Amino acid sequence: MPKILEPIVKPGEVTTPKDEAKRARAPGYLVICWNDPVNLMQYVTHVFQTVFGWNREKAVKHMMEVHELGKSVLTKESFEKAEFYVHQLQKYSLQATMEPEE
Amino acid sequence: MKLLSREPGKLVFRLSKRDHEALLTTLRLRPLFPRRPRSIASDADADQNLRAAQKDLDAALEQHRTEQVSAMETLMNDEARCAVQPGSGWRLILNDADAEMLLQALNEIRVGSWEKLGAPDFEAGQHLELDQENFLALWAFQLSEMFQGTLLAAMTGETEE
Repeated sequence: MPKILEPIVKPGEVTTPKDEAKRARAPGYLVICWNDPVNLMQYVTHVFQTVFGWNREKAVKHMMEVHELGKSVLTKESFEKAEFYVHQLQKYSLQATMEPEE
Repeated sequence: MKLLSREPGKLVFRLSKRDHEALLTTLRLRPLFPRRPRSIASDADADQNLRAAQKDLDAALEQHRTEQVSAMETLMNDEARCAVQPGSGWRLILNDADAEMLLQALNEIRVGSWEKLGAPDFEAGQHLELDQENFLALWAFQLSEMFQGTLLAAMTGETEE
């Protein structure tokens, strides 16, 4: 049976510089993780990798920010997506909050 | 609790009889250490959207907690995943989802027992006097940390902290 090739660029996935600019201007919510004296550094790194799919280097960078600066802004997302990430992080008992970007 | 083998999607541990009893007891202590309410916003004057989302968060975490307690009981009673090995204790086999679930459950107990102890900052050198009141919480804190450390090291392939 002949194989049907997937288009490299699918309909609806085309992003233009105009789209990028629009996304950058869109109001977003920041997902923040706060330091606490109980969760282990190795655990926090693992949770960041699992929840966000980050590589270890990026996860460690944010974990160290939490540890040394008291908090780290993990991502900026739409309200719904930010809420989803806060839920996921809190399922792992991390202190995560969200707030509108100013 | 000792890691016997590690391959993609599958961790196999050996638990002595004592390990098995301690893990089961620790997991069943969870209702004694309810977590403090968690907030979705750091600002008390959060906007209306965030206040509504707080209710969703509370409901989602409560549901997750209930499902997790039930899933942990199922896991520990499933002979395909947790079976007695004549003469050598128990064998615990975890897929990725089971390992994440057990990790979350152990950390929930660890953080809950720590809150019960008054949220001491051990890293800052805060010392805790052992007494009859806090004995169980301290025991749960240390046992959950021990199991969590072993599990996390196996999951990440790193050595324990």
